[in-house]
Amino acid sequence: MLDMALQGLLGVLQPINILTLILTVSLGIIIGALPGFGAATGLILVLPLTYNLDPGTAFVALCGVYVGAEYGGSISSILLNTPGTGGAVVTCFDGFPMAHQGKAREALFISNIASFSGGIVSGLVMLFCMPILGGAVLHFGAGEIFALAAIGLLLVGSISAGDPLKGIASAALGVFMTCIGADAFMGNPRFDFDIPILIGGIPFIPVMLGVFSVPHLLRLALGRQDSTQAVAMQNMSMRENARIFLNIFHDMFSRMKLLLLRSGLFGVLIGIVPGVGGSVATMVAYSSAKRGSKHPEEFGKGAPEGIAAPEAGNNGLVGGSLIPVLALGIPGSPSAAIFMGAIFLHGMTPGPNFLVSQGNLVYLLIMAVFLAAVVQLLLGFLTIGSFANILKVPPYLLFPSLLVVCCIGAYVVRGLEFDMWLFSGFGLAAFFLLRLGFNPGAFILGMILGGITEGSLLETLTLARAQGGLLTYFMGRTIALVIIGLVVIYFAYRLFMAWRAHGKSVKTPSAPCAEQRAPGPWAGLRGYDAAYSILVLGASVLLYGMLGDLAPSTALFPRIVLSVLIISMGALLGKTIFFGRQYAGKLDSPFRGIRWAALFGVLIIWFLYLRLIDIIGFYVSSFLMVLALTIMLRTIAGEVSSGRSLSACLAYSVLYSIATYLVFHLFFGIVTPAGLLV
Amino acid sequence: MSRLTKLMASALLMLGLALPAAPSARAGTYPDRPVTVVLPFGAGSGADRIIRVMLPKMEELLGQKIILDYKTGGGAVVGSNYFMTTKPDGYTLLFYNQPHITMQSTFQKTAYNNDNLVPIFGATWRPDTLNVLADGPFKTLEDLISYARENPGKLTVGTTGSLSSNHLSFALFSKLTGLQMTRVPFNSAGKMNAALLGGQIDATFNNLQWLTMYPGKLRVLATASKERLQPDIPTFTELGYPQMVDISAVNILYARKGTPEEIVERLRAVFAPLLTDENIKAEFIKLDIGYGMFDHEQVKAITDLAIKQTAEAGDAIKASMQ
Repeated sequence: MLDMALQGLLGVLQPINILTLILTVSLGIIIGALPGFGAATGLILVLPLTYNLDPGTAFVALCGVYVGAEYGGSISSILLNTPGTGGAVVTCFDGFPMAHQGKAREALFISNIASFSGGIVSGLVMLFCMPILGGAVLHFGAGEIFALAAIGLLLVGSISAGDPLKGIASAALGVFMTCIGADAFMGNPRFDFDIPILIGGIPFIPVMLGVFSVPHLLRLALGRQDSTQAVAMQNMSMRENARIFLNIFHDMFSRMKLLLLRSGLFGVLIGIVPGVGGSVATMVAYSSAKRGSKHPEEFGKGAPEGIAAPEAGNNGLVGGSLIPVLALGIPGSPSAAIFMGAIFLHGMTPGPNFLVSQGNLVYLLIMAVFLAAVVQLLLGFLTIGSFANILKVPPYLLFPSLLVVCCIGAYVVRGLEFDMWLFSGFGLAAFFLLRLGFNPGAFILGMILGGITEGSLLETLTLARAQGGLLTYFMGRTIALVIIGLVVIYFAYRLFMAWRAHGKSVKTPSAPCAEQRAPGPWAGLRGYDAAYSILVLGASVLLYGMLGDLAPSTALFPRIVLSVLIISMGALLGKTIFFGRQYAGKLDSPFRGIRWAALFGVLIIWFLYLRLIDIIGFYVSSFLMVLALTIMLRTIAGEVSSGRSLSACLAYSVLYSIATYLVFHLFFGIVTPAGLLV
Repeated sequence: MSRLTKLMASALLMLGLALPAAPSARAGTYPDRPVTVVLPFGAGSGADRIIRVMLPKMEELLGQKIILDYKTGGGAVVGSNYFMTTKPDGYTLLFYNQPHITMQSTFQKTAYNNDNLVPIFGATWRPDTLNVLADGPFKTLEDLISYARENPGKLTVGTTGSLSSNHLSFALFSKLTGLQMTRVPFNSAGKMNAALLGGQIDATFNNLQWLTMYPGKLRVLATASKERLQPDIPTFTELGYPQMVDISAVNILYARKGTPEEIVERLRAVFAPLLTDENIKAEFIKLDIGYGMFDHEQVKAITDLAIKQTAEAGDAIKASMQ
């Protein structure tokens, strides 16, 4: 083995492979940082570029993109509160608040170093434990996957900030979104309201982009020059940068080394389980960091550990998800499936014999994981300034520009224009709902986990029925029992601690993180809270009534989810009515401070933009939208429009549209709606 | 609102933005611009791999670029429905498979069906197989049947997806044998194989490709093909189930009904050399994706068989969707 590892190392150190890694890791970082473009999308876009490389270099290239994208996803989480990928949702919780406090540089460095350590941990596990862990994959059946998914859902409540009831309700709402369209097991349609496109369900990426970025962008664009913009970083010389970087590096590896190791391992281990994916890994890592911390109250407000844990987790995932592909030919995630596709494309057969027959290639890939982590660390350090420059872009340029990128990001996963509308609709709804305590993090995590929870639940029940009952099924499944036991113990322990702590200390009001904080005080939300819960409650009851016509297995999961929704919303309503008095203070509208006229103007342009895409094509309508919005937002911001500034706006719109065309159309070959023009 | 936007659009055009003359669909000049092929399964899917093998040759024969447009979701229903909203002018085609089309249009609401799709040619041939673990209790199809007969509902059989060829095989098999078995659908063949290898399920309907991936681990009890695919593996026909024949996913290039007849004929003629191309055959075999090429008449026969089998297995298909 040592011999082969050494050969792999020599292979990956060939100039062509090092060069490939530098190129692909940078590409991965950029792709990951683009909102909506995750590792899987990046790998698909890059795969055709690797057709003509030799197999080893092709794998090195894909590996570089994968590692880069997992780190890059955190950049937009931190700077724009817009997770680039599902695995970067949790990074928003502390990354954005930290950037908001003017520590964007530190936040990015922490993410970079944590991602690096996650990569190294996953490389080590691949190197030493691949055959053992590969075999373990086969023991993960529906029961175990369901147990893990359920942990994920339970953790959503405990890691999200704000009113727990609203958190649960938001998560349930997110899970319900996955009930629209075909069910996750048999594929029977439901809740499609006779709209054909809804059979395909509501994909999470457009919605994620909407609920995270739209409220933030709208506030930036419409806000007076107040605190909504994160403090821009100061320019620093390379030496100073390096000094800070080394300080953080030293600090993290002395203070957080256990946390980094643990989080990386969570990533690897959860990555191995087919279908569970990055969000659970990052949630488990985050939650365990929060539990282990001496200052758990700082989480959600910019705790360094709150960035380090999920980022080490999602880069640990890289190795984890590759293990079943290499050891067994079983892809557990979309990204892993693309790797497997690449193996086929180069005329090789993945499977249990792959480790033996293509040992050289496997060790080359393992070494590439190590080297990619190193390259990512260095590139992450070098590019920090250019990424952070995004905070200096004035909002009137940032908003329209990101709107274009978000629309492409929403579109690219399924290639449907409908998804741009989904992005916009959910984003706008979130802009208002956020002020009522709607929790976007919980909502999205619920949405990511809904499908896998339902699929594994129904599969478990089907298998259990065939085997004569749940008890018989679970008796033979040690891993599932252990997972379930741990969950029970963990939550029992937390309940006990909460009970013991109760009355001991005055409960500090949990301040929601910056993004979720309503502009006014929480006071006076009573009427709105009631309206919100009555609305959701009513809708849930109506939907519940529609379940009767469905096949039992298709109706089961929506029934559970809607029950949770009805109970949590009922509780919220009761709390508002009976304990509402504790919201002392003046009755203040949560919608105070919105500039309605400006908002209305933005929405009209936005709407026309989406309608025009069909008619005159994506890039031309983007150009018109960027131009119109830039001029409008500048005027709103009170800047004097002169002939010169107008032509500057025009020049910017032209250049920006051409740049997006070059990148997305020519380089990545994304087919956008064309219409009469491009 | 759409009138307003159209007004705006025409105003913009008058402002002097360049407008290429709207190309008309006439067979004489067809194709005078790139042709788009809609793939209702995502990038990197099996269908994607298959069309990419043929793509360079297809572009060469057509004399135009071919753009792959991935429109995915809902077990390919969304993308195929989308295709039915495009112009029937031969500039947008669909690459989708039988028996999915037959099964979906029979049991779900879809905009497409066998009457409004016009086949150009078909590719891939990979008959379904019934697989179990090599070191498991079932050595022959008879073993499996007698176990399932004695233990109604206990035998768990995996299929990839619902309303797929695997699902058709499962339903037809349970109809013909009268067996009560439990179907377990998986969203990818990889996960299904993991479940079989890990002993989570008893058997799968799948195809021979996985035999090469897991040498020595799997046993194929029977194949749904006319002739033996491998000398030591019997066919369902030999074992007394002649209806279980030629069940295979076949990827087919379609035009919409209403496409001018000359264009359809032209497409069929232009792509005819693909069907005998030796390089493509070699590439299919190298990538182990099941070689088979069919002209539109053979596709028609394949479709008719799929319709017949779907009708025969109708109740069993419905029952296995509950």
